[in-house]
Amino acid sequence: MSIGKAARRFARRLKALEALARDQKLEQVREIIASEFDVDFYRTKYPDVLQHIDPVAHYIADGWREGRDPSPGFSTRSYMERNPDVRRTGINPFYHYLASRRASGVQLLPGVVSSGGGAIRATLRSILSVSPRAARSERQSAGALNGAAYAAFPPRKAGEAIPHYGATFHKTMERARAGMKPIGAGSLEYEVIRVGFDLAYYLMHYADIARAGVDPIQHYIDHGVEEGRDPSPDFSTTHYVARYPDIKGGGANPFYHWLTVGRAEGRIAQPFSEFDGLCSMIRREPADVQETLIRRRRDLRERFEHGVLGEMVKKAAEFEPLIAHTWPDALKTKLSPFHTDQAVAQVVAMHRLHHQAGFRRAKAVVVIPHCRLGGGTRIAGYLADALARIYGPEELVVLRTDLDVMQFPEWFPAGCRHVSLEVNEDEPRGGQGHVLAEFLRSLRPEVVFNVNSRLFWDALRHYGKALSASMALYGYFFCNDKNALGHWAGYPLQKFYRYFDILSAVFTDSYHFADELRARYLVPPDQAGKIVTLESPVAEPPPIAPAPAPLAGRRPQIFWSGRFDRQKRLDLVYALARRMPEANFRLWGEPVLDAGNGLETPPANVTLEGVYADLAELPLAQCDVWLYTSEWDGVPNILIEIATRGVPIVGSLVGGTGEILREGLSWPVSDIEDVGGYQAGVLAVLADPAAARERAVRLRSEVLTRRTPERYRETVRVHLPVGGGGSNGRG
Amino acid sequence: MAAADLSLVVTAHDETVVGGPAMRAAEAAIEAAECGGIAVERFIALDAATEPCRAFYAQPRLSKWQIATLDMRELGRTRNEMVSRASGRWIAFLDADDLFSENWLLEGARCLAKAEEQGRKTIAHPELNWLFDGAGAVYTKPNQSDPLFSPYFFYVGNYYDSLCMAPREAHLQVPYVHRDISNGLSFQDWQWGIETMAAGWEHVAVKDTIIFKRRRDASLVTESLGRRAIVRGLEAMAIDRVAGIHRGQEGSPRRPQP
Repeated sequence: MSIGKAARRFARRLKALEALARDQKLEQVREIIASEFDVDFYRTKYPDVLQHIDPVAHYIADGWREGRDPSPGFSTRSYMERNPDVRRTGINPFYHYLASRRASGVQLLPGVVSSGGGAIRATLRSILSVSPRAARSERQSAGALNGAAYAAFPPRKAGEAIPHYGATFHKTMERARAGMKPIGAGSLEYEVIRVGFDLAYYLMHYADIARAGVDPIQHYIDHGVEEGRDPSPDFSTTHYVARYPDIKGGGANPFYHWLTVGRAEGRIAQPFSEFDGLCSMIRREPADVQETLIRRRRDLRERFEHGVLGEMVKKAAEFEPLIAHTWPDALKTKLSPFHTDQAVAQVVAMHRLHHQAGFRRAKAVVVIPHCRLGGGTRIAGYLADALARIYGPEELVVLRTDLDVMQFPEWFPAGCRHVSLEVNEDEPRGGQGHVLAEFLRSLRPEVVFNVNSRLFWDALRHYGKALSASMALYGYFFCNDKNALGHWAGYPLQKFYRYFDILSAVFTDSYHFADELRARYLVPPDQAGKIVTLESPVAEPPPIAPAPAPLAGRRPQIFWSGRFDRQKRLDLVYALARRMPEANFRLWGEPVLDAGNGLETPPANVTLEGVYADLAELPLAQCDVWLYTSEWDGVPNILIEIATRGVPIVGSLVGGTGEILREGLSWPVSDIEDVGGYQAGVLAVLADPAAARERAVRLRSEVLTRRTPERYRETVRVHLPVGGGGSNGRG
Repeated sequence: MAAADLSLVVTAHDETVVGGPAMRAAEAAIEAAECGGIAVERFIALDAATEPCRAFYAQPRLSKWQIATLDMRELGRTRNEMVSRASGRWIAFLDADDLFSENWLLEGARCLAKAEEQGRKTIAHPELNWLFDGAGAVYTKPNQSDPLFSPYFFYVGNYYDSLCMAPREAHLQVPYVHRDISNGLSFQDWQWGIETMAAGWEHVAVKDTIIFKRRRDASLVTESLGRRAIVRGLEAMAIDRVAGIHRGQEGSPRRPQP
């Protein structure tokens, strides 16, 4: 059949239905016809009528006009030939015959409605309309038209067998139906919702409604929407309202909106947040998929209630009655892959990750939480650079897991692939971990490094062993942190002992911290080598900062930078500034949420300079001393950067800072609370700036000698799997 | 006994009376199949079975069934062993606490027979999975040729399971792997479905047939789910292969806008 022909057929159907709506009560027509309609005869004689279509509905909508017969004893064509007035007025001939026979003198064609008739006719027309999209193809249009007819006539089959779900519930249905408003007596909203309302679904899923004996349709209108209940497996109230906020604003009942307008507009009422994403994956229009799902659910329902499928359930329940307890779930059968909301979201998330990764494998993956300013991000960049040189940048994926932020792409090698998990805050953490694990495995990598990704660490709890079975896992640990009570906390404490056994190696940026891990956890000697210190490299040695002008005639300039938080101890800077009113203290940085110490009004000789993006922006040629006051730390990038510029450093000796603050080449302060110690260091530098400068330049040379990208890369390489990048690298 | 068309293997380990409904339903399905002209070979595979389990299946009421006593201590190996012992050209498995619809064996066999006539390598599945007892849910098992089918679903769930009907060659070509729950690797059925599909076997659903899967508190599936076990990392699920596994392609990724 051509599309044009299908459209003409639909127009004819619509006209016929409008005629019915104008002149007859649809439900009354239906009930009278169904009372003597021979379903088996109709199905047998007209196999072209789809199985999931109610034959009675089909006869009313189409069959009589096509000359089909409702039973062996009634010829539609003959009756119309004998009764030309019936044909002329568009009355269903079988209805005319039955009503005439049954009730002589009774008004045969009672008016459908009185005052509200026009509105209901128009609304019915809308309901019976098909989505323009759904009429694109012959097959689709035929299905949609039949589906529309079916929707207009809920599956009530007078005289048919009890549905396979059982007589008891059938009676519950009948009682509920008896408590509903008579056909045509409800409001427009009520009557429209009645058309699409799935009474069995509602009563099976909401036992409280079945028990209460209230009108289910009225309940849905009055309370069901607010309570997030669904009137049909085809319509998710909560998803529809969430997806189309304009409806809630307009005050319309969402199901009424969908039946009258939304469905025809192609609006989606399926219970999946990522419905469109999955449709895109299978290259289908969402509206078309929705219609397909609706048709399939109705086909299943028909077969459950009156077909072989339900018969099989019934028989199996005779062997095991517990089987029948699942009937409510059968009324909302999951049509895989449109399974659960979470499953669909995960399927779509996987495909999006693959899309970002270019549908190509990777030999190495670096997992980071986000790409924001921070030492961990910088070090992830160093690691990525080393891996890119070993495996080739095209074989490297940098995966962001916790926040979709990418502030410093330049910190990562050109040519690598950046992928973001695009974390959905509503997604359960376990679901995200599953997606992360499956995505990593789908890349078929040799090595995966975690640099501070919380999701990765969390995922290892469940998937660590499985992941380690197919790839080498590495963890990059930095120094612990302190919580608000001043107690140690952080990934090394929480994750090191948990995952050390499944990790191929653990990397740190500090020898001090590596020793601390070995000592704290009594790592056996034969495994001590699994804890590896990678000295963060200096990729491009910066020039030595010009020495400041002689001190004579000017105030000394003390520089400091860092977050204004508990760790960085701004209070120590302020205390030193108060002790040294003769000097200027210039501070870069900004407050953070857990500012803690140091947010009091700064002394008069302290200047807050704001933030910088690159150290080169700072006027280092004016800097006499760089001050560092952290209470705890690893080997901070700022110390490395300042050391490579040949600027004298006075700093706290904590954690790994001593690996930069070398005695004799800088002025380390062992007792970090001793403000006098910092003062002594600063005064020592200021006392002989030239000598201090000479020491700082020697420190620079030492740092640059040790911290080369080549050395970093080789240290990484020797810990890669044998046979992989470790032996066949290209770097 | 003449060569069977179909070998039905019920696998048990510690089940006793829970197997009663399953066996009665299985026998009803066998009777329906035999009435339809399908010769059925009946096996009960007792793997490292407990004494009560052995006693249950030894009862005279089940004397038509051949008992295979094994000590594999693992479901995948048990199934593989039973494939070697079975004579049917098609093999169907049933876990001792599950049931299938009366029409499954007959309709499944008809499906495979038709596929054979057409020269297609087909594995038949019941149209529906009907979970009951400890948890309730009903979901469809789609044909892999279904326009709504996406192989990406295999990353998050198993479309199918081993309670299917497959030609012996499918099992010989793709044997079950052993599970390794302690290392987070399980769901041999899941893996088998993926690997057979990747190997060119077409998975189809047989209309109006159902497998009724009992969800007990301590089933293998429950244990696996509780441990968040996942299927093994498979070559077929690699980023550049997954999109095409149901089309018999080595990999031709779809690239619609995500």
